[in-house]
Amino acid sequence: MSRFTVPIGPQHPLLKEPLSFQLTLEGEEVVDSVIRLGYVHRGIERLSEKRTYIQNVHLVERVCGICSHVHTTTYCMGVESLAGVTVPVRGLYLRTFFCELERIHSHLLWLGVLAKNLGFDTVFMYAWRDREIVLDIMEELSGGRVSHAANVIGGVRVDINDSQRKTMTVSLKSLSQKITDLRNIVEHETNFHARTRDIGTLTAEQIRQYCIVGPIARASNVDVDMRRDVPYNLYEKFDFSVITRSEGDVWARTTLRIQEAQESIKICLQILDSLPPGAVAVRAKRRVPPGEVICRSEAPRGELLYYIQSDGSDRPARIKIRTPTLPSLAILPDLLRGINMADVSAVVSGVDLCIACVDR
Amino acid sequence: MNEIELIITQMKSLFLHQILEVRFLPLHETVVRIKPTTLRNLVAWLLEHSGFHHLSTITGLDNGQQIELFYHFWNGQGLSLHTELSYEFPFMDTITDLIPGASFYEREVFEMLGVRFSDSQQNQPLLLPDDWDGQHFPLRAKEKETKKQGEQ
Repeated sequence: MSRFTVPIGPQHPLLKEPLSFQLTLEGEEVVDSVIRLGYVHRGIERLSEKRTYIQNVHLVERVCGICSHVHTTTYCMGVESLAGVTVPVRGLYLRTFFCELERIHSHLLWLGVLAKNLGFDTVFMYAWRDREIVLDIMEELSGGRVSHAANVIGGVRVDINDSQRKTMTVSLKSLSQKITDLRNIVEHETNFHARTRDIGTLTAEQIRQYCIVGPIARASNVDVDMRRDVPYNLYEKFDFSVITRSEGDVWARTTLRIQEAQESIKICLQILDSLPPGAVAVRAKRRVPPGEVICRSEAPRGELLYYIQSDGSDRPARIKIRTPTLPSLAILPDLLRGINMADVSAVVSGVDLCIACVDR
Repeated sequence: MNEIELIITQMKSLFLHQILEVRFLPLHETVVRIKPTTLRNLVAWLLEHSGFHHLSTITGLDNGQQIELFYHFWNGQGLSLHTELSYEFPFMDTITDLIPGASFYEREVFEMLGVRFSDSQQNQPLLLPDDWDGQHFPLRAKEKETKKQGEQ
């Protein structure tokens, strides 16, 4: 059978961000694929060396348009560790609150994109409608729906009053019910099963070899979560479960993310219930003592790492950002090989690519 | 003796003169500076004899005198292998046969700093544009200096 090549991207309805695939097909079967990155490479690591530590808070927030807060959280944690700054407990609670809201927002956004790519527009609209609850909360607190600028070095610049706590608790409880409804649809809708069961399956061994992290790893029974394994932002104080599944396919990743969103709501409600009084930030010096720090956190898509090196000035000597999706891209050619062309959208959506994060 | 100290003691006894320095950083991170020629053997040993099989990323930086590489591993706590390469000989053994996930990390280090890996497949651009000349590496100190003068 003759082979032919189908280009997908860099601009394509399947992709929400620019990325290029060259798929080689034999009939309907994908036999090879080549990925090309870099369409949104902004040179942020290089640029960060020319900006001060304070300016870089706003720069790293723009690495990603979805998980922007966790980037600033990880960066600030690293700089605070180098500078010997202790963030007040209330500030840490609020950081965690935003991190978990962002996880819910990211998982619902992803569910909508997956459903849309599978032709399941009802779930797409429900998921994105429900996501608005989270975006409204973040907007009320910070003024921004996506870029919140909530973090500063030394704490946060946002606060919650008692009235907001009450209304947000009601909103989050209603969101929890809506997410349960979404889970029911995903678990019982036969068409959804047909498009996602045994599709794009990854074994725990493949996860290990390709250094894959986050929900994809947990959906293949690799029990890893930085929030529990290297507690930061007082995560050890909150009661939540790290969800794992054993199937490893797109369906497992879907249900796992929905369950994770529920766990995040659980953490948010605990924060609203037990928010301690006090300051939300302390003032930090502009200059940071010489040294180096490696800082890890759990972004919505998995492990995020910042390596920061300081030479004692008010600008970093080097910032390296490790985003969770880069290794997931490395395994995509293996995942796509041998599948039907019609399943490409499910497999590509299933790994929850964040191209802005990958390109930086 | 905790787990990381035990592993470092074993590493020191097996790779006696190859381990140059051990630094303990905050946030449960340890950096071990090693000779570049031993990196591949040390990674193979880590994979076989310790739980450090997750490679988070490879950080490359140019400090003005030489190129430094950090291989960030993780197993409940962080262990980074730190090595230095000279400008005259910026070559490194690939570890993609041991850890296939290292492929994109190595390609990024190649294009940003010009470190060439023993597997030629790794010496291809990942993020830079198609018309990149393959000669100017954006994170090299010399390149930064040239850019700075140009901006002025």
